[in-house]
Amino acid sequence: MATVWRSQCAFARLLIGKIAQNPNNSPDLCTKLFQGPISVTSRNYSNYANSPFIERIKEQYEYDIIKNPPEWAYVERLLPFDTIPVVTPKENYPSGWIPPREEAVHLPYFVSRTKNHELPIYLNITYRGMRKITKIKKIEGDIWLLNDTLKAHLKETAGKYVETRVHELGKFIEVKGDYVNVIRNWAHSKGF
Amino acid sequence: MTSVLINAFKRLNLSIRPQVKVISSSYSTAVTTANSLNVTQKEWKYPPLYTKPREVWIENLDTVEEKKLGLFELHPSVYAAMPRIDIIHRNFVWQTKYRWVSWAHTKTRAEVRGGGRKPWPQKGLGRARHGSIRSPLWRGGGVAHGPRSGKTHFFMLPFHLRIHGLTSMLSAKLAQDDLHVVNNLELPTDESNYLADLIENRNWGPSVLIIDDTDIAPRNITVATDSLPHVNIMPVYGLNVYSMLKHDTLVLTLAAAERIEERILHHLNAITTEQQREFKLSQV
Amino acid sequence: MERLGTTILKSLWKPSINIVRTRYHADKTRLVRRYGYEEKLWCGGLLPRVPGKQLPIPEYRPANAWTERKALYGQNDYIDILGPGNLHPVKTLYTVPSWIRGVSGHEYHILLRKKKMFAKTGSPVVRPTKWKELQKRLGFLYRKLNRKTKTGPSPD
Repeated sequence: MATVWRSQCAFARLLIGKIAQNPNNSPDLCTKLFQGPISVTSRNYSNYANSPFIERIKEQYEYDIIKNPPEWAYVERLLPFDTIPVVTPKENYPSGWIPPREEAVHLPYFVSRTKNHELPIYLNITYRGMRKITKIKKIEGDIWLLNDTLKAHLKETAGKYVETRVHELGKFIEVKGDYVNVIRNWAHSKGF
Repeated sequence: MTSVLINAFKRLNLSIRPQVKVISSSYSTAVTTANSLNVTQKEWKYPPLYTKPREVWIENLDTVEEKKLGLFELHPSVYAAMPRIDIIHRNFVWQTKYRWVSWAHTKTRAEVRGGGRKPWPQKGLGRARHGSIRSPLWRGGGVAHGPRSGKTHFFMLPFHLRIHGLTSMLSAKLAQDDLHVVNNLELPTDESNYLADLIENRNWGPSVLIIDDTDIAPRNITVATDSLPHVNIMPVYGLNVYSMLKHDTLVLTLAAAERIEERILHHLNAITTEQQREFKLSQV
Repeated sequence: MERLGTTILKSLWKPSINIVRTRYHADKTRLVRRYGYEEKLWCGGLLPRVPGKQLPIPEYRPANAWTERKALYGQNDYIDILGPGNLHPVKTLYTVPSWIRGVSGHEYHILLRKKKMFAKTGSPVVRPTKWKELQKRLGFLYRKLNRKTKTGPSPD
């Protein structure tokens, strides 16, 4: 009903525009001229009930559909990755990234890489830089053995006793102090 | 302690595996004979590096007695994750809260009808001073600080916590021997007695949740589960932590198990910044 | 004449009068007030151990934990993970009215949203009292939150 009313309105506006130049282009005149159906509720121009049915849009250009054209490879190159791609093996990587080695799998413990192929070793700085805690995540296998070997290694390199905390259920170890580079080098040496 | 157990399991797996493994290409034509077993070797897009894949028996539903049709491998990062009870609980709380809208409602003194007139003069009557008969002190008056309708408890749990909740729950079900994989959902009859007998015979416990890959389950099983309120069928996308906790046993079809694995592995290895973004109303 | 007669008779005949009690206090029964009225309150002492009259415990009727709604509660909550990925779980909350689906906030925020979404419908004309009360409440909450409470989480 509303669409009908609107079309009448447009027609009326045309007429009025021709007869007497309506400056504001106001629809009030139209309503006065055409006494349309008056409903109790406010008029809703965009509504599920009164909106027109979807029709097929008339094609303006002619085209035909081709499956798997040779140019599709160039389009595919532009599409974003569905998942993070697997690393292509190379001799050396210019970024300094070190790939994990095969023999690490045979150790009784394992630190798996993140989905971005990085080592899950992080530094958490809290209390305005007063507390630094190095966190090693995604540890599989015997986490307590890894804790012992890591502690021994840190004592050797740092020259002092280093406190650690093991969260077995969360699969992570927290080391008190900033030992990110030491632990990262150790992890690379183990092949993780 | 747990890691000792895990290691023991690993050794156990390694010692058993060569005895039962006879590799065959497809599980659909799997037939059990006296000595040979069909094991589906899976080619994963993201193969497990360290933790060994978990193996489950493929069972059947066309007889009351259980038949082992073969072995099926499950990805460890989905079905052998650390069962974090705290994360499962957070998922449970989220599921109950995010749809909860409290419609409890009381009227305030402004909304209760009447009460515009001063009931009696301020002075001279020896009575307490009152300005409206709908004050909260009055019987039949408005309620002060009462519940107002449309109180929501909505929040969104972070995306990866929800994934972790699913993997934790699936892993816990598998570790407790409450996860069963069946080849398909074809039943010989549509009688619910048959299904009840089957559940009784296989010790599947008081309630069973059946997950299928498709939206439309076979006719016999839908008719049979219709009169059993504690046996429910869901498609893969309907699977959730609450239902897994509510139902005792989880029965997956082969296709469903693979589909769940594929979806979760996809999200574990994809860029999920879009999904991790803070929930914004009218933008999802 | 007659009066004279009676005075003479009275002066002449004087019988002795003895008061005889036929109804004694010991024979009297106690007065029963409000005869036939049954007391509704129990006046017989502590309740639970009274033989014969038990506490009115309601009959235990356990709720059915496996109605369809409860059995399938939480379905599709992980549809963005396990589904094709184009549907958010908030979109599947069909039981919640759309104007409050996925909304979180103080009563004021929720009412503002409700007003915004209901203003386009026939609600202000069809339910004028409800609409007026909504606006009254909004005005009240605006004054309360902006002029009478400190910034930050409000007391209620």
